[in-house]
Formats: sequence, structure tokens, C-alpha cells
Amino acid sequence: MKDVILKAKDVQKSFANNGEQLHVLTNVNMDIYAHDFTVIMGSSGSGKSTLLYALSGMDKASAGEVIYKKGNEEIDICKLKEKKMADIRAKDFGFVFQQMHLVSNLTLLENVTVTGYLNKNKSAQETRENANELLDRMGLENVKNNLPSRVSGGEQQRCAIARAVINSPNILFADEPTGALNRKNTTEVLDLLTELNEKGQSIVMVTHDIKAALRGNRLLYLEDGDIVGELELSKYGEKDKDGNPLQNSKAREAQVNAWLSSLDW
Amino acid sequence: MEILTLVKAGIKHRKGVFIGFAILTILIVVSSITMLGVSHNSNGAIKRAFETVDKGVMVVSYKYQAFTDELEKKLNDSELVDHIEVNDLIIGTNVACNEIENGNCFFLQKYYDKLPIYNEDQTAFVNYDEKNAKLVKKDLPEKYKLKKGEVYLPYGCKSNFKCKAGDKLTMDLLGKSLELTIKGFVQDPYMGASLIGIKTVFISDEEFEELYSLTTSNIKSEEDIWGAGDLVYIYPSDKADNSSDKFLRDLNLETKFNDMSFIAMTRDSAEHYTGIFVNIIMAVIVGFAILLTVIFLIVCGHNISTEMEIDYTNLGILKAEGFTNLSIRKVYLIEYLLTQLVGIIIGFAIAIPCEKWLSRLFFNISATLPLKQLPILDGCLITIALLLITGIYIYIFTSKIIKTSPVKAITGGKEDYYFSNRLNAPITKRGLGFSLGLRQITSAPKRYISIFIVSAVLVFMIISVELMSTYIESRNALTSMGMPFVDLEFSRKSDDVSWKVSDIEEMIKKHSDIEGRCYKTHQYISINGENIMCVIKAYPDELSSTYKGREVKYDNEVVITEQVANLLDIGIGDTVELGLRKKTEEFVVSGIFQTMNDTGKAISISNGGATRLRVDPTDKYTVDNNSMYGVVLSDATKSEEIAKEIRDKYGDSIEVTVSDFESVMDDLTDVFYLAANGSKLLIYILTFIFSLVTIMMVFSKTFIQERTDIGINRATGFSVGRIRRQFALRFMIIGLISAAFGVLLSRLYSGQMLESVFSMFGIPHMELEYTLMSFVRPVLLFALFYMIFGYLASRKVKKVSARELISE
Repeated sequence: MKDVILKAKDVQKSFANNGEQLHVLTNVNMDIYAHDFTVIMGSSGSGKSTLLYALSGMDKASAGEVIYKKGNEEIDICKLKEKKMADIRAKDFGFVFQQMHLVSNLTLLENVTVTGYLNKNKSAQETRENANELLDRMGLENVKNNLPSRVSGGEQQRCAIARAVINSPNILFADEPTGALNRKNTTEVLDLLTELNEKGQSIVMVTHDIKAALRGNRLLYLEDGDIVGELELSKYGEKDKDGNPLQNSKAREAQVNAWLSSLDW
Repeated sequence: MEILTLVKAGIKHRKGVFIGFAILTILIVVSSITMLGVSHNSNGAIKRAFETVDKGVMVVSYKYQAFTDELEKKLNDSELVDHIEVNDLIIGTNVACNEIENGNCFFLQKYYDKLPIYNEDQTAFVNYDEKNAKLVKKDLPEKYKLKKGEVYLPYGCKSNFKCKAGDKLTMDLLGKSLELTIKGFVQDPYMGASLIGIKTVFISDEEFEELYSLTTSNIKSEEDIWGAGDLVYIYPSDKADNSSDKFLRDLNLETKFNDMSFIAMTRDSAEHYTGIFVNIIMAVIVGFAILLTVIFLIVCGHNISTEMEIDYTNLGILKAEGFTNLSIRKVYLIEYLLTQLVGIIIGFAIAIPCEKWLSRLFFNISATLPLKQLPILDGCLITIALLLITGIYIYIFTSKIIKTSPVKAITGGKEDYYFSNRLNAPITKRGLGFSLGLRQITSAPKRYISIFIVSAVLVFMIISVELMSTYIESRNALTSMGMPFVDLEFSRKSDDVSWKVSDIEEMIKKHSDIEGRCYKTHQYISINGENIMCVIKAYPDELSSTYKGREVKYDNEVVITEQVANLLDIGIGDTVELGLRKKTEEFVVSGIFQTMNDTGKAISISNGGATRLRVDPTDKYTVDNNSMYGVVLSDATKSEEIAKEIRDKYGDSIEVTVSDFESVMDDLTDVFYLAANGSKLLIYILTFIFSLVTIMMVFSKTFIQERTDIGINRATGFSVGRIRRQFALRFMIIGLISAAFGVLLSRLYSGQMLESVFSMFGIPHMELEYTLMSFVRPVLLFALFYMIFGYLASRKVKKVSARELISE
């Protein structure tokens, strides 16, 4: 039995568009489980990014509840005041953007440490050590003192992931994290996310890239603002007792493709 | 059409910036047009006032029988004189109204029919039709004709005495106390201004004849000749110099008429005293308007550079679409010039009521009814000049567009523009907001150059006015300005003087040492033919304001002000001829001093020197009506005790005034303080507005440039409050750095600037006290201003949500 860490109840999101209401999320009900790598897929305009903002508190839902379970506490993030929400973003949620969005006049290391400094439970020294360690682990040891404009897109995105996890968030949200990257960088970033998930990091990722989706162990399909399909997979690269992969990558890809085809993808 | 579309879009997109520009333009236009209007109308009014009364270019008063037939003949015979007009004169002393005393004597004269009489609310003249700024004489209506017991006062008396029609004016004539009812106010161009102490007041012919015969019948000895006299108006011939001051000197050399006079006032001097307040304020405000224009151009240039940074890609796109360099530059030109034009139009609209209000305010001082002309021509010239300067400036600043190729602009030229100057101010957990703010500044200092320059200039101005304020409010400064502050002042209360200065000093010394004595009298004396206010001092070496050469030590020495030195082209060591009535003596200039008497046009001699000229006001060691005697005590706390003992001993024959420095400073309404404090207030207000506008403009640019960074910060957990505090700290740092430059500028140039302004009041030399507080206070105040404004400006941060970062 998996623990629910985030729960969406009747979540709706509408936008005013030239005097008309545009209903992007109609009535989403879903759970996000701890330690899962949840992937949200859907066609363009299906509302997957909007759902991610609503789940991560980047944007407030027009109606419904998004319950964040923190230990025994249940927090409806739709009702949080700005300061409390900022606190949750700083400590409990990490977010990775498609366009990286690093602060342009801070070095990679500073981009990570500044976010780390928001965590009052860690000393500045600890934060710096953590940031260095994270960046080294992500293969950025030689470029961590460079400004974002001086490194590649993949390096920027790895730094963005490091920034997102510096405060050991309970959930890491990623919005098309490989959307702006080439094949090599895409693989590097996905490997990194997989590695984090293997270590227990809960991840919610939006993507329309099947290769990226294969990394998840739970796939949700969104259509016209509602979840219409769900596929449970084993963990990517998970092995049996004998050390053999539970599922080879081709079989995994075929299973996902078949599922997507059934949803008219 | 395509240009207009871009202009419209540009203004709509950056309306905050353009509103800021419009406000700056409005400030420039309002200050310059208002002051030009006030100056034009006030100075025009003074000229019109002289033309209206047609009383020559000089009025000279003589004590009884001092204007002899021989002198009259000399004047009439002079080639320089066209004709003269001689009127009888009665002199009144101890003039008071509404319990306010005037220390000067008043001249009583018959009302003459060209003298303009103000209506009840002093908005026009009852005996003139005003049309096209020219006065057409009307017959005087019956109700305005003077009756016995009534008096017309020059309008300057209204503010001096805080009086109105119907109030009583009292004065002492020789052998008679007189009470007159104020019938109204008139415009006297010679002595009407509130800054001129001596006044001519006008009574009916019948009453004048009566009083004149009474006064002259009371003149029994030489000591009584002050009671009456003659008032002589002198009309120059074609051969006289156009300058009435020069005419006076030339005529005096020929006839010695001025040496014999009691007081002479030329048209030049009258215009100087009447217009001095307007001219000083005008100099300060026009100086500030020029400064504002420079600041405006700096901000304008910076703004265009930053805009081009932000719009770099768009510039490339426009070029790729086929827009020429010229057409893109036209867009910038039209945007800014259009905004400026709007600012100019609004500025004009605001300047009109401001001009009326200020003219009215200055009217209380100049006492001449201001003209009601709008400075259309001046305004148009200013408008054209402003548009032209801005246009050229923008055209030059947009030359970068030529260097931008479409491909370079579209593909990543942006990064070369951003953060080309990367300094690594460290980021620390403690004081995270401060260190991030500092990093934002150090990583892109070019963005803040304009605000640094503007702020440094503003800090310089604030520190300068602080220094000025400290200077004028210190006792030492007052002494150095020739107006020492005394703890105890003594004056004669009745003719029966039973005390001498030496007696008083003995009594004081029992309680406290005397630090300095100011025992002086004022007398107009001619120096090389020029009639100048002379300060005659009993103790010249005490409380001295001589700053070059040395104070008067011997009877044949004189100290002069720089103004007099320049006027007569004399200096230390020169021999000059001082003259009073029939007596002339040679004196040697021993030093340069400063005083605010007669706005710095003064000389000073010792009692001994005065005795050589047969002026003997203080040798009896009694205090007469024209002299001032006061002491500075070592222990001012004993003042009341000393005063009581002296009052007890001498009773009604002495008036002792005890002054407390602090309370007197709080109550100063002297025109000099009004001007100084007015300038200080004005500079603080303008600095406040300018800081606000500049910060808003810089912030709105920064906001556009850093919108993404703000979004990132919000997404990573920074609260709105935290980001706003970071902005506030960033602007505080800017304020502090600018203030440091301002302090440096101030240390280098404040003294020079203040001395050039104060020289207009007769204070060309200032020893400024550079205390820590005179720098720290404005710097902290400025940093605080910036912090608050930065915080207020950053309210837009609320509008940036993390959502904006996510591309669908």
C-alpha cells in the first residue's frame, strides 16, 4: 500500500478568454504517491502543464482542493496565503522548468545555494557543502562557478534540478524538463531524475516525449482537462532477485505505446 | 502609419517611464516658466511704478535747512540735472502700529496726485485704469481723498506692521506724539518695499502744513534739526549717466549734494532692494531648473540605452522586416518628444496659477503691483530649446541602432548587453536580501549609472542646504555675517537717560564675563561720492566680521565689503574720501568685512573715525534711537538675573531685552531666513519628487529586465515580501553609494556654490562647519528615502507569478 502524498479533489481551472470562460481542467481527481515517478501525458492543449501548476501551487485552482500530506498534517495548498505557499515552495516542493530559468547573474553554484539559504534548518556552510556535492554529482564540478549563459542547456538543466532538490523536497515537479534539450542532454537529465527517484525522491513530471515517459512508474493520461487513463509500470531499471531487469526497455516501450494507442494518442 | 503604430505600442507598453518623463518635464517647465513670469512681471512692475509717479531717478532727504539755496542752485546749474523738485518733509521716529515697532524713521510728505492708491484687496489701483499693462490716470474718487488724521502707507508697511486700513499708526514728531488712521496703501517705488526700513508716508495737505509749522517751530538747536527737512527729487538731463548710481556719484563729485544729505535713494538702489528677493529666489530656482534639465537628459539617455538593451531582439526583428535605422530612431524621437510636449503643455497650465500665486506672494515684499502678462515668448523659447536639446540628445543616443545587425540582435546579442560587467559581490545566507541586492547592482552597474549620477547631485544639493542651514543657525556664523546674536540688548526708553554703557557693563561683570560687545550705529556716509550705509562701531575688534586684512584699529581706517570694493574699484590699502554733510576726511581701507546691512553694500568705521566726520552717536556712552547696544555673555544663563538687576536700578529709562538663541532662531522671519529656508524646503521637495520619479523609472526598467528572475525567485520559494525587501535594500545601497559621491562633490563644491548664492545677500565669504552630522543626516535620510521608494515601487512584484515562467 503506497502513501498518498498529494491529492487532487475536483480540481477545476478556468481562464477568461475574450469574455468567455475557457475550462482547462474540468474535474480532476487524482492521487500522487510517495516515492513514485509519476508522469502526466496528454496531447497539446490537454491542460497537463496547468494541472502541474495547480498541483505544485504555482497557480491556484479555480475550484476544488489540492491536499498536500506532510506527515500527519493535511494542507490544502489552494487556501494557503502567499507567504506560507512560498515557504512550501522553498522547502517541500522543487520545480524544474522546461526553459531552466536560472537567475542569469548568479553562477550555477550560487543559483543552487541561494535557494538552499531559504532553508533555515541548515547552516550556510552546510548549504554550500550540499550544493557543491550536488553539482559535483551532476557532473558540473568544472562549470559550477560559471554564469548560466556560459554553459550548455543540459548543464543548465542539471543545475536547475540541483536547485530544485537542494532543500530535499518531498515532491519534485518537472515540466517538460527535456523539452529544450538535445538527445545527449535529454538522456543525461532523465538519468539524473531516475537516479533521484531510485533514492526515494517523489517526482511528478509532465512530458509528451515517450522516451521520457518510460522513466516513470505511473503514467497518467490527461484529455480535455480530465484524467482519462492510468498505467502502472515497474520502476525503470528495477531488477529481480537475480539481478535481471524486471522489464527490458523494448517491452516497456511497447507497453506504453500500446497504452497510448488505446487512448488515441 | 507603421511608425505611429510602433509609437502607440511603445507608449502603451512603457507608460510608467513616459509618465515619469512627463513629470520631470512638468517640473522643469513649471519652475522655469513660473520664475520667468514672476521675474518679468515683478521687474516690469518696478519699472512701471517709476514711470507712473514720474519722480526722477533719485530722491534725497535733507535735515532741516541742510538743503541750502546754494546747493539748490548748484544742482539746478549742473549740466547733469534737468530739473529738481523740492518738497517739505517731516520726520517721525518711534513709529509703531499693532504693537510692532519700526526702528527706522519715517518721512511724512504731502500726498501727490500721481501716486497710485491700491483698492481694498490690493489687486488694482483706484486712480488708474490698467489696460495693456499701461496705466491711464483717473481722477481720484472723493472717498479716497485724505482727511485730517488719515495716512496712506506704502504697501510694504502692510507686511511689516501686519496692518490693514483703519488701524492706527503712531509716531513721535519733534515735540509731538502723533496718531494717524491708516486710510489705505499706495505704491511708492522708492521706499515702498518691505525690505527698505525708512518709509515715506502720505498725509493731507492741510495736516502736513499744520504739522510742518509746528515741528519747525520746535527746532531750537542743532540737535533738533532731525525733526523736519526737505525731500528732493532729481531728474537727470541727457548728459547724465543712464545708471542712477553713477549719476549720483558724478553729481556728488560736482556738487557735494550727497555729502550734505540725510539719506539718498537712487532708482537703481530702489530697484535692487525691491527686486532682490525675487531675483535671489529666481536665481536659485532657475539654477535648479537647469540642474533638473541636466538630470532629465541623464535619465533620458540612460533610459534609451536600457530600452535598447531590452528591445535588442525586437530591434533586430524590425530591421529584418525592413525598417530603416532612421525610421526606428524616429520612433524613439516621437515617443520622447511627444511625452515632453504633453509635459510642457501640462507644465504651462500649472505654471500660470503658480506664477499668479508667487507674484502675489512676492508682492508682499516688493510692494509694487505685479504685471499680469504671461511669459508667452519666453515660454515658447524654453519649449523650443527643451525640445531641440532633447531631440538632438535622443538622436545621438540612438546611434547604437546603426551598429545593430538584424542577425546579431535576434541571435543572442542580448547576453553581450546584459551582464557585460560581472563583479562577484558574495552571496551570503546572513543578509541574503542585502547580498542579492548588491549582486544585482555589481553585475550590471551600467543600469544604475543614471540613478547614481542623479542621486549624487541630489545628495550634493541636500548636503549643501544642510551646511547652509547649520551655518545660518550658528552664533559664530551670525557674527561672521555681521549680525551678531546678543544675549542682552539695551535701549533707551525715555529721553531721561540716567545710565551709561560703562555703568551697565560694570553691573554685568558682577555676574558674568562679557564675551563681546556690539555697540554700533548706522549712518549713511558718502565714500568717494557714493552714499553708503556705514556701521559705526564703538568696539570694532569685538564680534568682528572682517575676514580679509584687519579690522579698523585707528581713527583713519575703514573696512569695506566686497560689494563696495567692486563698486568703487578700491581695495585694502587704498585711500578713500569719506564725507558727511560739509565734512570730508581721508581714510585708509584696512580690511574687507561682511554684513547683511543693505544687502552687503556697506562700510564700517570706529567711533573715533566717526568723530572725525562729526558723527557723535556713542561718545556719551548713552544709547540713542539709531544705535544698538548688546552684549554676548560668557554665561548666558545669568541673562535674566542681570536684566532684573538693571531694570530694578534704572527703571523706566532703560529697556532690557533678553534673547534666547534657540527660541529666536525658531521665530526668525527675516527675509534672508525666509529665502534660505524656502530654498532648503524647495530643494528637499524637489529632491523628494525627483528621487521618487527616478526610482520609479529605473525600477520599471529593472522590473522588465528582471521579470524572469523575479518569477524564478518566486518559484524557488522567495515570498513577495522578501523580494520587495530585496529591492528596497538594493535601492538603499544605491542611495548609500550615490550619497558617498554626493558627499565628495559637496566637500569639493558646496562652499563655492553657497558663497556665490550668499554673495547676493552680502555674504561672499562663508566658513562652513563640516560636522559629521551635516553629512550623516542627509545621507541616512537619502538612503531611507530610497529604501522606502524602492519598496513602494516594487509593489509590481506581486503581479509576477511563478506560472509566467512555464511555457505551455
